[in-house]
This record gives sequence, structure tokens and C-alpha cells, in this order.
Amino acid sequence: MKYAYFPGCVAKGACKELDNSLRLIMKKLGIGLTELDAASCCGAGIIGEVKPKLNLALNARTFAQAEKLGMDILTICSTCQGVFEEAKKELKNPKKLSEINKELNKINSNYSGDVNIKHLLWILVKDYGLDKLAKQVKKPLRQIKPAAMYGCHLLRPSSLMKFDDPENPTSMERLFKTLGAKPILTEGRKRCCGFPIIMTNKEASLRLAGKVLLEAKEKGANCIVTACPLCHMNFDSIQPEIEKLLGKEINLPILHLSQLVGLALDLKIEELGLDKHVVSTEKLIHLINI
Amino acid sequence: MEIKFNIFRKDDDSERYQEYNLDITSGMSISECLMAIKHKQDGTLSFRVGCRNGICGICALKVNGKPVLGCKTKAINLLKNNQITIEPLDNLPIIKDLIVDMEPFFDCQNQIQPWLEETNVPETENLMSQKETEILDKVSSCIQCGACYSTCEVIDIDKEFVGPASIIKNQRYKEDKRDNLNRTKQQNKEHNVWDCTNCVKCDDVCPEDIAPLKVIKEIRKQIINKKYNSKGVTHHKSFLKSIEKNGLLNEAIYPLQAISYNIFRLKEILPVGLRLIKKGKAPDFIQKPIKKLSEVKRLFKEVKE
Repeated sequence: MKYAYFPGCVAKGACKELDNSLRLIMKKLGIGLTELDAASCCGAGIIGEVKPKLNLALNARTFAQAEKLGMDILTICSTCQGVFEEAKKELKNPKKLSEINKELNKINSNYSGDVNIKHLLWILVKDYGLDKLAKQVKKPLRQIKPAAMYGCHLLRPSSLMKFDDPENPTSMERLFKTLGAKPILTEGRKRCCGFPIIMTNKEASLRLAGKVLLEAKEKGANCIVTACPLCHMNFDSIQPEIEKLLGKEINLPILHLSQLVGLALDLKIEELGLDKHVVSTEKLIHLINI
Repeated sequence: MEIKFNIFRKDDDSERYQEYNLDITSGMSISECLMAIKHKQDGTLSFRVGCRNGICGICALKVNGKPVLGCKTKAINLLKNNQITIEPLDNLPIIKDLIVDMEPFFDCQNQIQPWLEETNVPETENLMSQKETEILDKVSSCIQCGACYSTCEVIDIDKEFVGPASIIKNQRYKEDKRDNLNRTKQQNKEHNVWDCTNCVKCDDVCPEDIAPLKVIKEIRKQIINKKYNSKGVTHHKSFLKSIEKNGLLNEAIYPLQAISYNIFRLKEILPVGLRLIKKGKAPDFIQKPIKKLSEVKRLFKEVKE
């Protein structure tokens, strides 16, 4: 089992702990990785808005790299996953594919049109399998009550993202149970984290994030676990501002999926970068050790 | 086949869910089920039914959490454990049971001048090309059912946002040759297209398959191509610039570019930056570029839209 690993910008930038956690858990699970170190940003939907053809060319270039390795792509980000899926769908059109390959040929690249792109969550649940994962759990997370955050683009558009039911996704919750944790079911797990509009309407962005965080807190979650580094970064790094705006204490630790799995595999706090979070994870980790 | 309906009820004093069992046939729509319950079991159940053909848009409601048109939705396709939950649309005040007050929805539409603004009375017909007609057809097929409005997360927390349906309406007039209003300028203002988070919920629920988010994305492109300026335009341009430079987003420099190095906007990004620095996880200002960056630069230079 080996994947062409696409870390994405956040795991290479402000949240390097996610990249590190992913590598460590994959090593523990015996899943091989070859990083796509020549791949460019997925475009986050933004390049596609301004320059749709360039967006397709850049992503087809990334797909071609995975094809060359003969591997499926592994993403750890809901946004990258969604943008890639959209690009893949567009490139299914033979006319479009040949148009884009004309551009790729200029850089000695070619995409044949059938790469597979899989999010970490899907790989753990389906390719690796929860039964097998259960056997690897060294430290059951019995005291952990995580509320899931899927990230918009892992669920929608529902015509394209078929892994979960977008109205009632359950794969993260099933994974949490496998790790021994007690999932808290929230409506917020399907909502937007607010990050995309933080530079254009900050107050609305904070309120969107606050809505998800408060619901999880009120329902008794002791952390939020995200499938998307963008949600992760947003919820963690701006939580003090959300608390100030809403006039409420939230103090909810935010973990990426790779970090939660890492905890169950008994990886060290420092290895998972849990000491580098803005919202302290100390109390949560104490619960694991009880 | 007998199934259980959990239906939201609201009157002056209370809100509750009421259960009804109904024998349905495979062709029955949600609207037909509601009418059957009303006629045979409970005359007090209130809901809206109009054309029953997916044209008038009046029967939108939430079935198992998702906004749909009651008349176009077959009950049998939505069974969950032999049950169906029916609720009124979100983001709108409930008048009674499944009937919502559409006033806030139409208030939003009124903000965008939902009429043809003709400054000159034409002397001849306004001929449109096939392509222009196709674009206009798409955006003018909105039936104003409110499904997108009710699922919009930004509307939920910021009532100043005009919302997806109004954006579509505005575009309907912009794409009409006879209209003489500078709608691109209007779309570039606050509370319009740049406040959409791309959550894709509107595309997922639109019964007319207009895909409001796709239209919003097209509008943003038109704004940028017309060389307007706004927070959103700067944000998008900085993003592309950053990717072109190193292949990945430079998270240290990009926020500064996105606020145009404006010291008055520094307060928007400085607290986050300081927090990250304090935790020893600030992204590097000097970013390691991706391998084979020259290929990406070449694509940026040579791919013509």
C-alpha cells in the first residue's frame, strides 16, 4: 500500500505539524508515501475562478506526476480533495483533456485521465479498513469526545463527492469509535468554518466559525477534529478573536485527523505538534493518560 | 406502503413535531402526501402548495434536513427507516407549521434593483446571439423558491449579505443586453459575491440546477477582468501571485499582500501572526519553492484562457 502524497499549502506552511503527523501515522500503519514534491497548490478554487484553464493545467500536471509513480494521490485536506475531484471530472471530457495536454506537452508532461484521488479519511476507512486500524490502536481514546468537522469540499457537491451522505456523514464518527473515542454528533460538522471569507468579511467569518465551535462545546465535545487543515488552522488560530467577538469562553482544542490517529497510535505529543497549538491541548492530553 | 411522517408544527404558543402515518404509493410527491394528511387526518396542518409542476417555487420546504420543492420530490426516494421528517425552510421566520415569511428573502432581492434599468428607449429590437440567450436562460430560470437562501450559511449569520438568489437575479439583468446599470460595480461592493464562502450548499439544493455558486465564481472573474478593486479582488490576485512565485501559497507574505500592505488593515492579520510566532509555528517568509517550479511558471505564462 503506497500513495503519492500531496500535503497542500497549509501543512507546508502555518501547520507543519499536520504534515509531520501524517508521515508518522503512515509509518506506524505501514503505509508507504512518496511526496509529490513538484506539485503546485491545488488552487483552492481561487485559481479556477480567475483562470479556469490554467487551474486545470496545473492540476493535470500534478495528476500526471502521480500517474508516473503509478500511485493514487493521498490528500489530507478537504479543499484540495474537492478541487482535485472537480478538475478530474472536467478532464474526463476528451476534448478538454486533449486541450490541456497540449499545454502539458510543452513541459514534457501528459495526463492520461484516470488518476485516483483519496482523502486520508477515505483511505483509513476504506483502503486500510477500520478493523485493521482497530488492531493498531495502542492507546484507546476513551475520554476523548470529538466533534467532527468534515470540511465543505469533502461533502459537496453531493453529485461528485459520494463517500459520505452529505446530509448525514458518518465516516469520521466511525473512525473516532475505532480509536476508542466517543463522537459527539453536531450539525456543525457539515458547515463552513468561515476561513474562505476571513480576508473579505472578517466578522462574518468569525461568526461562522463561532457557530460550529459553540455547538460542539454545548453538546459536550472536548475537542474538534477536522479533516481539513484550513478548518484546523482557522478554528485554532483565531479562536481567541471568536471568543472576544461572541463574549463567550470556548477554549476548545482543535486537532487534525492525523493528530487524533497519532494519539491513538501512542505517538508523542511533540511528534504530533500538539504543543504548538494556539488553543492548549494540555487538558485533553491529560485525559488520554488517565 | 405505510410510512411515518414527522412534521414540524408551530402555532402561536408552541413548536413541536407531530407524527402522522400515511399509506403512500410510489408516485406520490411530498406535496401530495401533505395534502393527503391534511384532507384525511388533520385539517389544521398548514403548508403551501401552488402549481404542482415545479414552476411557481412556492412549495419549498425541508425534507430530512435538505431544502427541496415539495411538488417535485417523490416521498419514496427519501425514506429513512421508513420515516420522513418535514420542516419549514431555515433562515426565514416561521408563520405557521411549514409556512415561512418570505419577506426577508424579497428584501434582499430589492437591494439589487430587480428590474431592467433602461436609460434609452431603443429604436429597433435588441437582437441577442444564441450564446447570449443561453447565458440569460440559465440565470433567468430561478423560480425564487428560497431553497438556496434557506441553506446559505452566510445569510444565517449576516443578514446584510444579499444571498445567492439575489446574486442570480442581479446577474439575470446584467446578462440582459437591454439593461444599462453598472451591475458589475454593484456586485463588487460589500455584502455581495465576495462574502460567499464557497460552501457549495446552494448548488446542492437548487431545484432548477442553476448552480448559484458557479454563477458567483463567474461574476468574481468578470469583476477581476474589468479591473475593479476591492478586498476580494486583492485577495484573489495575491493568491495567484503567490502560487506563481513558489508553486505553493506563501502563508507569511500572502496575508500582507491580501491587505495590500495597508497599515490600517494590519489589525486584521497581526493578532493571528503574533499568536503563531509565540507558538513557534509562524510560516517562513523565505519559502522553499516546489521542485520543477519553472514548469509552473511556464504554465502561468503560456496558458491562455
